[in-house]
Amino acid sequence: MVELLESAHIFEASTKLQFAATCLSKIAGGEKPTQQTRDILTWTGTLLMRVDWRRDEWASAAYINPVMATQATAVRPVFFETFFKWFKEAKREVPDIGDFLKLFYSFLRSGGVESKLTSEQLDLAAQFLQAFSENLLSRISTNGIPKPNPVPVFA
Amino acid sequence: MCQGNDGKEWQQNTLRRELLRQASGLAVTARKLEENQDYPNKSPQSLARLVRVTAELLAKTLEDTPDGRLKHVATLLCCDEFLRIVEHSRVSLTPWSMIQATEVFLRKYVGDDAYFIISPEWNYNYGVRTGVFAAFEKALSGLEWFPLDEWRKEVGWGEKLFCISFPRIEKLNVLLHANLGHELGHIITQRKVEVSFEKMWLEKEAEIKERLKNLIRGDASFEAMGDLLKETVAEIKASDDTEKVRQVALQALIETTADKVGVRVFGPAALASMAEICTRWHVDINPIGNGNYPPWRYRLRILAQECSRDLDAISQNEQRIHADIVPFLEWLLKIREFTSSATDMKEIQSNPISAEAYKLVNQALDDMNELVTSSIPDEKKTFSLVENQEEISELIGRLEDQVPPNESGIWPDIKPASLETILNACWAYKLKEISQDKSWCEKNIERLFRLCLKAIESSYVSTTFGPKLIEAYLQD
Repeated sequence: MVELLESAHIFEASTKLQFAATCLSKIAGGEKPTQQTRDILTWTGTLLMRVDWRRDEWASAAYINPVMATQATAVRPVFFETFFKWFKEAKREVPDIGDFLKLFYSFLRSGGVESKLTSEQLDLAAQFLQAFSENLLSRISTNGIPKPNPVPVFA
Repeated sequence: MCQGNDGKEWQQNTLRRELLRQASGLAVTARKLEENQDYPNKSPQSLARLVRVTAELLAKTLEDTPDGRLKHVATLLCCDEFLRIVEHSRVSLTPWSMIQATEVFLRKYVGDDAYFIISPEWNYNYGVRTGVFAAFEKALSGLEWFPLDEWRKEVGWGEKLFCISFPRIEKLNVLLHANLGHELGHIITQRKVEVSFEKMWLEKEAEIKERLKNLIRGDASFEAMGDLLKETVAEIKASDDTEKVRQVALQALIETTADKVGVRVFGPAALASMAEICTRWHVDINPIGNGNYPPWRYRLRILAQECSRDLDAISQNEQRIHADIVPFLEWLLKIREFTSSATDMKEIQSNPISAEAYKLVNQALDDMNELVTSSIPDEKKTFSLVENQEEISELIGRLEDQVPPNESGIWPDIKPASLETILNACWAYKLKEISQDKSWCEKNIERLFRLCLKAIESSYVSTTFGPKLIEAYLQD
């Protein structure tokens, strides 16, 4: 019963994160962010800061609407699953992951304007967003395998 | 960086070509179903149009679709499941004699601009899909190249389209269709429950997460891990558990609120139909192992509470109760006794996730009661068997004479029976007969179903056209 709209929320998050990943790669390549790019990066930053509850900013819910709060809870397990896998690869490039995330989230929240990240770091961040997006999408698609048996209750 | 050389280009070129073919095929199939005329109303065509337009526009804009988003388009094109609903809503597959009456009944609560698709499913369950158009719109809004305004214009209305399903093998079992009251509950309360829950979740999430994390930290196997691993495991597990709490609590509120609406509008018939259907399943199962649904015993308890006026009337023996409805009330009392066991609550408390979730549910119960009342302002009280016992008894008399229980009184002073009164009369008649002969159902139940279906149809016809007939009769 809940699934249809919730799937739509996860789909929306997945497709926007993929778009944001492409934007990051372009910025890393020297492109200036357009208004559309700025909007999507700001949205991504807001979502991630709500999703990653290890951040101090998480406690401040002032800029979060309730819909995004539930959307964040829904995608959080996939976020951490993706994050720790990505972190194994990334720790060679970013020894202090805490600092890196702080800069990354603030870069996103600025709409890709205020960057203290190197282009290599932006590429790493793009890889993370892309993996996060793909993992989310796999949660709502059957991935080509038969669906599990339906729960025998009436909705 | 996002474009590697690990065969992605080949994959994307192939996928792009395949998606164009798939989208075109989907659009053609949807158009055929859209042009079919064999439906009881225009709603199935509207749903087919939604799929067709979506497929056509996704195909048309495929050239503009960035490589990295082709998989998103592929996911959206799996919407062919909706065409199955369209296909199953043909007149020959539905209890057509009650479709119009049910639509009129549902519109009373949902609004005159609401449309319904009532179709069978090859699953032993009832269901409803709400917000189909809204979900498509939400998903498509994430595709920045997609012409959303053109899509909205071509798809047309649809905000209030609801797809209700019933078990295919129970097509005739109209008494069981009192479960449709629960589906009505989803339609009129679900979004409100979600909005109310979203606000509550925003306030409570942090403390729930903290409690769950502390539980994880206190686990003996956790202590054996190194510090870095500990925090990693705690983060992952706490994220997972908190999301499960949210899902379990939300589902409980959505289902129990819908149950309350169902029992308000159909009264004891709603309790009876849920009780009958759930006897075949495990009634105390933990929500976590049951698709997040509350245990059946928990739900029956809420329904029985809503029927307390009728149940107290017979248990306290304070009021004269017509003999025709006594066996039904006594059967319902047994359901209330069945729910007095707290085995379902013990099961819920045995798991920290469901225990946390139901803590939230209990805190939200008052809000949900208000929400139910405000959603059905004309039905502040649950439909009562005892209050309507004279009419119900007369309808039972008609059933005993093998006449459809569609009206009471003598022509021309007749009163068409309402859908809820017919259903309750049929339930009461069924239990009266069973109390006298335990094997009564074997030979007679289908006749009761047909009389009930005929009554619903006749009542609809006489409510709609009856006043004109009586006027003409009196003029003659």
